[in-house]
Amino acid sequence: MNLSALNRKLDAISPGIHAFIDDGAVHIEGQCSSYDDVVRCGILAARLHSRGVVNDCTCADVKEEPMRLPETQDLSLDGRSFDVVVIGAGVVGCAIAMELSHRNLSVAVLEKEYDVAVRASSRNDGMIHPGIDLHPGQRKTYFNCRGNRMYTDLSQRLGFKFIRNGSYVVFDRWWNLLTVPFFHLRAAMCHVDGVRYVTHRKLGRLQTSVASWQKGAMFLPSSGIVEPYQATVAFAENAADNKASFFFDTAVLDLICTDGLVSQVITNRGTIHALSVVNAAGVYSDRIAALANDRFFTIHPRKGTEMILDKDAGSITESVIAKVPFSDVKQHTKGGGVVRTASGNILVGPDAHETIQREDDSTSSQSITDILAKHKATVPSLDKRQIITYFSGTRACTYEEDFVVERSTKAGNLVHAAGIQSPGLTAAPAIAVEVASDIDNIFSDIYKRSIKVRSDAILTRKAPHVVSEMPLEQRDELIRSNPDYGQIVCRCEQVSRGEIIEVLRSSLPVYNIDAVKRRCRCGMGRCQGSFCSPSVAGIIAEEAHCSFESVCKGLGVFVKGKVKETSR
Amino acid sequence: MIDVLVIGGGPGGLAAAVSASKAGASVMLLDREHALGGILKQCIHDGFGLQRFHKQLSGPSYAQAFIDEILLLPVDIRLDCFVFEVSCLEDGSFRVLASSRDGIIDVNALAVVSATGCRERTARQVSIHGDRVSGVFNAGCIQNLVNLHGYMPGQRCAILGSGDIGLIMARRLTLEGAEVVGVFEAKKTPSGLERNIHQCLDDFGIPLHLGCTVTRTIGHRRLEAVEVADTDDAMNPILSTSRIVSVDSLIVSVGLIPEVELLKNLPVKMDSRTHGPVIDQKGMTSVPGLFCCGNSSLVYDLVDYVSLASETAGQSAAKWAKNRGLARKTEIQVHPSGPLLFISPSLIDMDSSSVRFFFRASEELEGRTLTLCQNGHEIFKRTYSVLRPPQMETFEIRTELLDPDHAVEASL
Ligand SMILES: Cc1cc2nc3c(=O)[nH]c(=O)nc-3n(C[C@H](O)[C@H](O)[C@H](O)COP(=O)(O)OP(=O)(O)OC[C@H]3O[C@@H](n4cnc5c(N)ncnc54)[C@H](O)[C@@H]3O)c2cc1C
Ligand SMILES: Cc1cc2nc3c(=O)[nH]c(=O)nc-3n(C[C@H](O)[C@H](O)[C@H](O)COP(=O)(O)OP(=O)(O)OC[C@H]3O[C@@H](n4cnc5c(N)ncnc54)[C@H](O)[C@@H]3O)c2cc1C
Repeated sequence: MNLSALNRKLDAISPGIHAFIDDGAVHIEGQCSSYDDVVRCGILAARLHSRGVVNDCTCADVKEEPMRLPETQDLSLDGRSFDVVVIGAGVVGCAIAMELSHRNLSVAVLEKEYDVAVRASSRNDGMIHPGIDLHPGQRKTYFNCRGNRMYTDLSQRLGFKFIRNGSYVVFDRWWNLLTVPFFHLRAAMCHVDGVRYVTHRKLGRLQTSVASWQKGAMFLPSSGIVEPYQATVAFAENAADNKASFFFDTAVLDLICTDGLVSQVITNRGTIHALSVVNAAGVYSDRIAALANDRFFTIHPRKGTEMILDKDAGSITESVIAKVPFSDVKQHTKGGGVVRTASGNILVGPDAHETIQREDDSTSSQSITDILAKHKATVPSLDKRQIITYFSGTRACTYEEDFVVERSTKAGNLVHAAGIQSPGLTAAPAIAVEVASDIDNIFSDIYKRSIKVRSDAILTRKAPHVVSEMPLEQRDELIRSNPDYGQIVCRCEQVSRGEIIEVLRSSLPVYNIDAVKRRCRCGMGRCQGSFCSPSVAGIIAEEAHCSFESVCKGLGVFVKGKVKETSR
Repeated sequence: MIDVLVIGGGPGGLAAAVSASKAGASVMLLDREHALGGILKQCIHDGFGLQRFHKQLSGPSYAQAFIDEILLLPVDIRLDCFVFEVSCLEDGSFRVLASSRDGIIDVNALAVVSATGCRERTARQVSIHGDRVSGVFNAGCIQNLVNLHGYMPGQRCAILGSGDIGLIMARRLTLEGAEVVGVFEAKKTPSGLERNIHQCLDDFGIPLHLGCTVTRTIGHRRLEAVEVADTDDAMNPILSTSRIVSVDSLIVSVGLIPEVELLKNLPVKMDSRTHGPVIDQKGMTSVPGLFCCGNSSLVYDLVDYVSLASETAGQSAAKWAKNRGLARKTEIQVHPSGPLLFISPSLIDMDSSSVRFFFRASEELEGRTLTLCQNGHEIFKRTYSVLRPPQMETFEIRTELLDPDHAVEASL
């Protein structure tokens, strides 16, 4: 397709939509009647295979909500300067910060939320994808394949749970079997190891909950799972151990460029000087790029909903049961299905819906019903009554449906790690290696400074204690050395007071009920914190030396004031 | 080796431990909390003990009566002990593992009484969707925060579900100066006791919206509003009736479920109606020597009945430990039919002289008769002028009336 053909097609969607090429990227402008049409125009424009699609079309039916900003307004960071400023503390930003913190560089991570992994990085399947459903030429494929292999070593060094439990891509039609050679071909092209075909009979024996009418499966042994927030926390804590500074409730509002370099980063807490900047801002990464006048891609958020079933449903599978990807190629859901999580629950999802709202975490009963119906075809025993919770996240997709990992052509000291949609969790460690080497080059090219990994860099992190998984004697010994490990606070997940205090005394403590929950699972069980949250709030208040009433759960305060004086 | 190990120090566990000890057994009681009394510690309203003590007591005073008694008996009470595993040994005895601040407790017992209480269904379990915000609580959590810690969930509250705890908390929050904008119940009839509707809502002018449910939470940091809608006969919301109510907290009181976590790795048969284990009139489960009582066996309406049934369980556990290995000789099953939410026990041990039944109707009924039949012969019948699901009914019959060769059909 060429530009004039594109313009004709755009005009057919909505008269007046107009495309032009600027600096190698295709820009589209005009007014559509609906947001769906805006997305359709963007998808069409991507078929031009330019450097990227900048979609400036507007629509009449829905309005984008502004970015959620922290309430803090102060000058506490004003005048500080760092060698590298990383924008965004999702899994990508944290992996990058970790990699950079091992070097002779001063690193700051700016995050507008109250903790790491609040956005997409805690709202996903936690799958370390094998990468078989990706296109061989894409950057996604390259980073996924490398990232997948890095997780074994990372999880051992940094003490987080990673299980290579494999996944089954189940065939629901006999004709699907014709694709077996195609799977093997893809596996070879994308460097996916160990892929093999499992017959109908063998599948029935290995995965007893898969419906008997399924026609066999491909088994992908390199597929694995992590708790995505625990992996992100591990990266962040290692960065903090190596002196990277994390600033939460800190939003980047503007970038000041001088002589083709970003020189200042404007935040709600003052202006920071930076020698280099990394854009790892997830769904806002196109906006950050725009602040540096570097517009060549647009994020169109794609929302996905997941549900978590009670651990009692854990017997459904030890691994992942996915459907063949061809049945919903249009949907762009990478993997997922019925997933055994690293903590032993069953996760079902996600779905995929285009949305104009970049931070829409709300859930709807319709999504839950649809997802359940879809996966019941493969696993009939899925039961709505076993759902203990559900959540949604938004993927940061570009119209090219690929990652943007490169040095900016407009600001010489800016590196993008943008458009990191699925499988971004898998790819993050590999992206970090690439971005770190870009930063090395920036320092040698622009500042004539040679950047090395410090000999005293800390490369390991002690795994936090998990008393419920310890052998009895060891657990007893631990309790005798610190009685707090004997006092169980969260009944469902059996988390002790000691584990909660450990989290609050880590190198990167976050005094928030939900932050504690993500780190040690306290409140993640079937009662969803109704028993333990008052106790957790009490421990947080003690450790942070603050009042009980100021303790927050997520963004909001947990309680609102005290009872009347007289009644106590 | 101890004779009887009791898990839980609420009214169920206390009554079981007291009666087992009085029957001559060596007894150990473990509770994960720092004080005895179970959930009654946070139930500071009165209304407990009318059946048993013929006066209105608060929850803590009701529990105190049993605590005073147990402290005089040679019961080994261990607090701050969280039991995390119960397993069955080859000789039929049990191994119980608990975590305490002094280390792991590892004990053997001939009989175990599980009296671990119940837990609440959560907002997620009744499919509440919308924005993910702070400010959505379970009623039990609020009871704990307000009554034991002295903190308020918010100033403008909506209550979803008309369970008793929700009703009681509606009154408590009002007394503490919060505005309770209403209690929303998806069903056409309330699920709490009638006296609580009068004393907690009517007397304080708190509106009860029957046939109305919360469909969505709205807010950014803290809850700002909820969307409510009327429900159709299948209890599904009618979207055209939805409206926004501004509140800063939503309190969910949508039912209790027996806590049976510890029984899960034992071959215990479960009762799909009570959501507790299948038990006989002595509280014995399908695992010989393992007893279950109180709210972990079935959800009771009055604590007085918890005490009553738990005493029997404690005595029977002591007897079982003494005559080790003497399992049920003859047992018959009870099959419910008609609008019965449950009838318990679902198993009758013919060796004891009587059976006390507890049941609830699944809907509001007038002038209905409950009959027990065996092989077409009527054994027992009683007509009730009115039956309501929140209210449990109880009656006792003698086992000599029963034919050991046939199941009992209970119909309403
Ligand atoms: C439903 C779903 C399922 C998925 N499943 C998988 C899976 O199984 N496996 C897999 O590999 N991947 C999966 N993914 C993809 C993966 O979750 C993401 O690719 C990954 O989390 C992206 O990480 P990130 O750090 O780029 O983004 P984020 O985690 O979103 O982090 C970006 C951060 O930048 C911050 N930020 C933005 N703007 C600013 C600003 N102006 N100032 C300061 N801070 C800012 C945000 O607050 C945010 O915390 C899934 C995604 C979704 C939505
Ligand atoms: C939140 C809530 C509020 C209630 N309010 C009322 C009310 O106002 N009026 C009313 O009549 N009834 C009320 N009830 C019902 C009330 O629970 C019963 O009447 C009665 O308290 C049940 O006694 P129990 O001993 O079976 O359970 P509980 O009183 O719940 O006692 C169970 C005990 O077992 C302990 N335990 C549980 N698991 C373990 C373990 N693994 N290891 C060690 N110890 C363990 C618990 O800590 C607890 O102390 C309420 C129930 C709940 C859940």
